[in-house]
Amino acid sequence: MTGAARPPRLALSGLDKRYGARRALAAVTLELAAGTIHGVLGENGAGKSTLVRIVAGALRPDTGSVAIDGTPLPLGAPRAARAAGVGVVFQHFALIGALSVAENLSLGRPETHSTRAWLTSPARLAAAASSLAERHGLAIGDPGARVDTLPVGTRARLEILRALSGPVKVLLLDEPTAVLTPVETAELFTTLRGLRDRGVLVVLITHKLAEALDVCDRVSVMRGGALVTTVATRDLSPATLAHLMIGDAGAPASGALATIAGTASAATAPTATSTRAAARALDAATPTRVAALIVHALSTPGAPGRTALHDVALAVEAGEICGVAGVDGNGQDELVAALYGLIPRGGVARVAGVVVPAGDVLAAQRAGVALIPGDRRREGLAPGLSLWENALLSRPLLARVAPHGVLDVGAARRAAAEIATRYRIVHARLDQPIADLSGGNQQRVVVGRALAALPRLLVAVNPTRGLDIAATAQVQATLTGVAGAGAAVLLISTDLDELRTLCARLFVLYRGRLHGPVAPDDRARLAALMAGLAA
Amino acid sequence: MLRALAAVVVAFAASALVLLVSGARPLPALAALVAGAVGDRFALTDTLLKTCPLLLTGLAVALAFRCGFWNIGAEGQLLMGALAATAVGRTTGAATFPLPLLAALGAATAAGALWATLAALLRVLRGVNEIVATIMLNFIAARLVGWAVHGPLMEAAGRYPQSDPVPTAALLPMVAGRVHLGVALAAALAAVIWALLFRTSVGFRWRVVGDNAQAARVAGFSPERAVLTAMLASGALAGLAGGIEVLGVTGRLFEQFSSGQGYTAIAVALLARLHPAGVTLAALFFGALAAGSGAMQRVAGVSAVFVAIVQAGTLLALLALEASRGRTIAAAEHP
Amino acid sequence: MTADLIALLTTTIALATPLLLAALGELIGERAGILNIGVEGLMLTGAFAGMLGSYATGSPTLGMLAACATALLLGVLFALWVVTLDVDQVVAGVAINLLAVGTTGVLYRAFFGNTGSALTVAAFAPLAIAPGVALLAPLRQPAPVYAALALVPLVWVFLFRTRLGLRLRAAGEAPHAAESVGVNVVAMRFGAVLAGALLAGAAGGYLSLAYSNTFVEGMSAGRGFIALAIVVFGRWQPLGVLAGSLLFGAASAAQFQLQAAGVAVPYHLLLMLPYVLTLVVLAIASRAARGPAALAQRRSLCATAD
Repeated sequence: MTGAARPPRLALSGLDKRYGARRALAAVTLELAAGTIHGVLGENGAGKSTLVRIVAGALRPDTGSVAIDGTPLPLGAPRAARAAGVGVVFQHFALIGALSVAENLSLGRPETHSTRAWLTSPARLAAAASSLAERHGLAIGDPGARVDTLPVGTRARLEILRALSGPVKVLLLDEPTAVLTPVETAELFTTLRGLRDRGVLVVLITHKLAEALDVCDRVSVMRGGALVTTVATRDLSPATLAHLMIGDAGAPASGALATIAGTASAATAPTATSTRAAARALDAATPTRVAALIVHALSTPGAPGRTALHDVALAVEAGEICGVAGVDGNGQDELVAALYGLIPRGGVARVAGVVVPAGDVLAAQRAGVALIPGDRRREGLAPGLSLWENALLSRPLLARVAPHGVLDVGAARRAAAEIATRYRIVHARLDQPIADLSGGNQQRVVVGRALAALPRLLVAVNPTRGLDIAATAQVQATLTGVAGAGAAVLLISTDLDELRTLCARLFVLYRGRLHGPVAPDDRARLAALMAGLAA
Repeated sequence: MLRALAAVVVAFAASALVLLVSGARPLPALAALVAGAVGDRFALTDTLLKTCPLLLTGLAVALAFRCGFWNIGAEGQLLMGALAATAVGRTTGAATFPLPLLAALGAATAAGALWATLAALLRVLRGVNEIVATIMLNFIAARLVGWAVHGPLMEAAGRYPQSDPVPTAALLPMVAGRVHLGVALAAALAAVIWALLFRTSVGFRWRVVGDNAQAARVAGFSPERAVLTAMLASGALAGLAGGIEVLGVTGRLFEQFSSGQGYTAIAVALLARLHPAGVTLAALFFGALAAGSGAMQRVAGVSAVFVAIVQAGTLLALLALEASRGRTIAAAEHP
Repeated sequence: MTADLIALLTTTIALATPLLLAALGELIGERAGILNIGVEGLMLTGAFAGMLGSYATGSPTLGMLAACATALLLGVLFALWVVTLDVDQVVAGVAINLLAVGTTGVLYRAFFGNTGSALTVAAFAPLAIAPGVALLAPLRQPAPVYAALALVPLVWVFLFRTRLGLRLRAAGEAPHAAESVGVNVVAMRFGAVLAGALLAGAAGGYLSLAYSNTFVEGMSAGRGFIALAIVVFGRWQPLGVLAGSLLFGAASAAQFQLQAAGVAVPYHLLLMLPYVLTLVVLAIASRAARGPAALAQRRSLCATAD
């Protein structure tokens, strides 16, 4: 065996991809060896996902080529990629909720002689699923269970199993830990190390430095579609890595840098600490400490696809940013919906001393609650309507510019223009469809609209998810500003670093129960609560 | 506008093919169609009269679609309006003008609104797919009309399945020649509906609900209430169309009262991209087509249902043109 | 009494068959994520083409083939629009219905005149099963009835016991996810539309070649729309669709029986029965029913990132 002459497991050369004027990938060339774990790091929009999609065959590059073990891969052909040994775990799980575990695994399996049988049966699929799970030492539970009834951790394992169901040479994972608890993340990394030891090339896409440094042998950093550098992790400090990701040009706002650096370790992130200290100072400066939100014995009924909330008690003071941590799907959506009157609930909620009746959005709005929804495209925007109309998408705001039900278009546009100016929304015209704006600018509309209602209580759900650094910094500064002006902010986020940066107190949602408060620095307790290991 | 024109041209070309297959000579047939639509004063009057119900039902459909409710039931709502107008016009006809007319128009509006609200309630309260519900209600309305003209409303002579004429006091006055006041009313309503949709908070809520019901809910606009109110308005318009048709054109109710105007309305609304001003133009176009097809049937012996082919062709061409446009947008914004 | 029951049962099966064929076809389409409200038009086209085929050849079997082939052709058109061009399925379905009404109307009058003279064609005869045994009369149905019944288990096996069926269901539940694991969603949906069109055409052919032996303009009379309701009622399961078809067949049959029995309810009101029943059944069944997640959604607009 002449190891030196062997071609690299995965070779990318000159990959280029443009969307209109934007260059998503710029001449990316990279060679990766078998039997390693390689990290690809970068901010949102750095081109990581585009790279994954190209290797997976889901996207055709404009130019460039991909080769596996020296054999060029046909581009834009998912099936060919899978046949060549590329397995992918997508960022948004590509599992089909209404199908069973076994059916989902069967869908991912490439056609071979043994599986080409025309007829199949649940028993046969289950047997195949179980043997696959056993082979890789991953527990999947009942293979006949519908996937949408399973916890997120199991789904993540399923996704990985499915990627491994063929003869995998290259395993790509796109932000696989976004929905995992720290414990589940650790388990995943053990699995990945096992795969590496069996000669698989594992490519881990992430924006979390700690993870990359923990599990990867080498990392490549991407910025603005281009590959900045590739280095071995043992030569790296978190601070260096953070600077590589952000770049030197256009020094980003300190809040965002804090978020990134905070990922590495709280100890090496002085900016995070100082921001938090500033937030606390703001709190202390608030003269009267009024409980803006008091929730007592709040509960919601469970339903398919819904987590029941049990006996949630919570108080948020005016001028405070109170954080709720937790892995997605532990009742965050339900807590928000219950507080905002979107779903029925039991228990009592008071805002500024006034009892807010259950299941009544208008009553919640009148009591002074405003919401920044977690999924702006689904819950926050009407994509077919214009920018100025979307700036009105809230009953109290609409009432202001439509006295007696007649819309004063002039006033409405002025109000929208004010939001656009104050939040620096990049737009061509107020009549522009909101769908034409970038994600960051859309989120600015949503945030500006929520604050235009002058809320006593602002409920913000993952307000910076998917935003670039500048937008993230702006949104975070806005939240701090609102609290500074005396409103209470309930920040519900899956991003622990963001919560640590902004909040003085944290609660954790786990399976519909609220635990805490926890000091933001108490990482061990947070991790335990998020994994349901402590009460 | 350009796309709409292109769609119409493609539709005509395609429907000429069907004429060829049917053995008719396309050019003389189409010439008869055009002459029957705009050839002389009589033809133009005909076009206006055929436009009127299409304009009202087109507005009805556009309004419902804007609110995200697939109202395929303008046909049934129109029939219920015609039925109610006939019944009320016949019973109140002895009173002095304009009371019977107002009563009959009011009844038509209410009947249409009620019929549409039934479908809306079925969806809001019971989760019934409105497409199936409105279509079923169309069939039921047609059978109700059939029952009425064979039963309680059948003419005294008892010979044909039709009602006796509605008394004059309940009829719409004529504006010019055979053109009745309803035509003007319909045109005015197009402006009203525009203002309702784009200049009131009710219309704003309808449009938000139609665009993204979940976002509307979060904004504090109840999608259920929006659907109910929108369908109330939509059904009222379609019912009014039926009432006006009885009180301004036919003067009586009979079996097969509608020649499918309620279905044509869908093509009208979509060709207009759900905009009231566009609905006016599209209704004129399909009204002309309807007037012309009658002439074509007389002159060239081609069945008047030929219009349905042109409508189908227009819809398909329009969809294809929008798809080619939509695709480029999707590709551009998808990272 | 017994004679009435036997007659009722016989008519029920005869009336349920076109609904069953159309609803099974619609079921396959909907499982792949395509809502085809043009099934009414496909049925009407099938009825007309079937009659034309039998008129031209004198063979009801060839007529049935013509019905299926013509509906298939129209199905290709529909699939090109809703799958390839990925346009709105409801609007395209409306267009297909209009196209069918117009085309069959124009051609029928062009070929056979306005008179509606009693045009009759060769039709399927009932199978001579146990002639003479009165009790078994409901079994003496034309061959397409048996073909339709046989399709129920076949469709079930296809959907739930084959890899192809699994892929088809995946395309209807989550097209993007399915695509990412290598399911050819376009092919699945295209094929499902064609299968549905074929069956709707057969349902139409049954109307003009087995249930009757002639064509009347608009003879599908809303059965295609009722088939849509049956799919919801049957909760997207072949057996449920069979049950729904029989229920609606029975309702229509009862309407005829009542009429024949001289019940003092006006004829036109009796005619409403199936449509009213559809609404009632949907009002009861809709809340609990959960269709394929991506039903009627355009591929490009499905709610999945990436």
